[in-house]
Amino acid sequence: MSAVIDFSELQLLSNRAFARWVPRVATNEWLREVSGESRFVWDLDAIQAGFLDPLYEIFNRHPERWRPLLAAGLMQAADIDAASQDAVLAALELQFLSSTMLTRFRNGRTAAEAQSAGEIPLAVIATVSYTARQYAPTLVIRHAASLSQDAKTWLACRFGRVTVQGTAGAAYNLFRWETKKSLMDENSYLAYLRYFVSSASFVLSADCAIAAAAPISTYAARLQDASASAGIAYHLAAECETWRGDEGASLEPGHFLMGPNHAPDRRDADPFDGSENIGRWLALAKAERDKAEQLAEGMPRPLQNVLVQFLESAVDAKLKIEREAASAK
Amino acid sequence: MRSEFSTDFVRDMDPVLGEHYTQWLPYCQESIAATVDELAHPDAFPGTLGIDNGHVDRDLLHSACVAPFRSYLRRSGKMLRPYLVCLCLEAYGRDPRTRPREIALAEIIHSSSLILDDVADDSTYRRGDLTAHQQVGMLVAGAVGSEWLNLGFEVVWRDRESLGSRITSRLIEELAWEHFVTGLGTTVDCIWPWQEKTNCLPGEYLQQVVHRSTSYTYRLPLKIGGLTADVPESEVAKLSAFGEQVGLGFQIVDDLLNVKPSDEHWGKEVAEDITQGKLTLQVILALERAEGARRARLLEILRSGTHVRSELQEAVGVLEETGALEECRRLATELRDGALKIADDLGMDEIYRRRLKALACYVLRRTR
Repeated sequence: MSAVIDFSELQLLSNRAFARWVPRVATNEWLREVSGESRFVWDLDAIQAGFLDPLYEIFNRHPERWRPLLAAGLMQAADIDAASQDAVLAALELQFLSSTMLTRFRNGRTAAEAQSAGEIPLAVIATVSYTARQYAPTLVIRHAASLSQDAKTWLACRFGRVTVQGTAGAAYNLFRWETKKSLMDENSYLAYLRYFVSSASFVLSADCAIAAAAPISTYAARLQDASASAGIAYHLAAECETWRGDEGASLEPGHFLMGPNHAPDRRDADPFDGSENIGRWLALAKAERDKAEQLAEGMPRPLQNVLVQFLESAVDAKLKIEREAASAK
Repeated sequence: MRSEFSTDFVRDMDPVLGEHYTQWLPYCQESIAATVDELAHPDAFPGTLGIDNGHVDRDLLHSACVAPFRSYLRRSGKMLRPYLVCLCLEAYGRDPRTRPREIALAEIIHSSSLILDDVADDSTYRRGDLTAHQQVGMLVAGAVGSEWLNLGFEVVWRDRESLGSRITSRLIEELAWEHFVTGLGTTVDCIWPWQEKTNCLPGEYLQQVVHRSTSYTYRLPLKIGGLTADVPESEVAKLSAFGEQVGLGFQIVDDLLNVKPSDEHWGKEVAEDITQGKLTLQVILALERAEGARRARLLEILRSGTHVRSELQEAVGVLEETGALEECRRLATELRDGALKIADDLGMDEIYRRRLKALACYVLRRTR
């Protein structure tokens, strides 16, 4: 197992993997490869404007690639050539991007009620999100050539499970807000992040590494737990950053402690109104981050190194900025 | 708008199909109820989601994530998809009673896709009742549709030991692929009205149908049946081709019925596709054929989002006068004939081939 992982190289690798399976320009060759021989004629302009362009807009807005990067790092640590898993890495990013797309819409009873002025229609964005999400398990089971049949089947089902959790969580949180108008307590919110918020969970990254590298499977449960805690820590830190930034910005994935984005009194209930609140928030993130590190300690050194390096790059850097911002405030 | 759904449509079927369908319908209903309960009973649902019971409001979880889906199941669709799985299993010498989950899977996917279709189309009614998003909102309904669609993977996964590794893998592959290509087809369907595109080709419409409604209507249930029965891949391919042919015909007939329903139990708004500005095959053909003021008027109505009956009738008039509706009827007949030819080549007893052929004929001459 290798000891040193170059994260910037893995980020480039993740970008290349995505571009391999999601071209910037729609072509008949790509469509033939992923959807089969066309019986009639594809409207390539429609696929471009209705799928690839909006998808790349979101892709460019989120350049970090943390999910494929973590998976690739874990694979490299187990001496698996991550470049050979390009379909899996692209699938991870698709799954993440799909979970970020609907944050600007309201839970209206009609498309007009759900729509904000000037936005791309809900039906179009919902379809981009749907297609990206469903492309992910297809890439895994059809195009992850170096995985065994059983590994592909298991991993495709894991992608399905994460989608179920993410969508059920979205429905649960929105419905909760609309019917109860109540806040989640701290424990419920942490559980919500762990089980429901697929974008907060990096467990799928661990799953991809487990599917690709047989030796890792010995540590599967520990690795999944560590990844989940890393994901929660990252999510909490990212929420602080978003809240501190643009007033009108959406919070990934559009649902928050206080309720969904459009909850009328959300601004009034700003949890970051004082340093005490934001301090508590950052402490929660730190606790989850430390939990991830503790879990990593029980793993072989190369895996441990990747996880710690990941925590430092993805979580610690963000926490440091937020701590400084909170102190300044 | 509300209308009661009934099983009167069985009278429209050839008895060789209708009697067999009626025989298996109760088992289909039983399988669906049992499978959905297994997944989504309040005591089971947190486990299905893989979550810890302790921090979740179970009643709320059920109301948000299960109730909207169950409301679609309760609306008593025809349940043709689970029946097709039964038919395939029996036709290839398997006892359908050993495969309740795969039978239920076809209906779970179908009902989920209806919720998503209704969100995409912003429809008000489904089977005579308010659509899911009218009840719980667009985002909740969309999430619930995706949630149940993807629970299909879980349904198959639970049967992995009895199905075996190869069949499990093939079923998961087909579910994943069909869900994905449905997204590509829907992309084309929903981008056209938004971009106010008017120069679409008939072949472009048919291609998006191949990858959209054709999937859930017939192609996927037949694949589920064939794969679960463990028939050779060449036979699965024939079932898929048959399903695609019937599915294409189904969509063309559906488009025709949308603008000219011939039954009081239609259960949707009349000419809803015109209101939504949809470029269906009949509209594309009419735009190709109409000239000058008539073409301009058709476009004006399509872009207006109108619900005014006289305007909708005016648009339907243009479809009729240009021969677009007649052309679509002719194509539907061609597709039916193609399906009958494929059915002749299926490796099953004659009686089952007759049933599938009767299905193709029923779908193509249905009135609701």
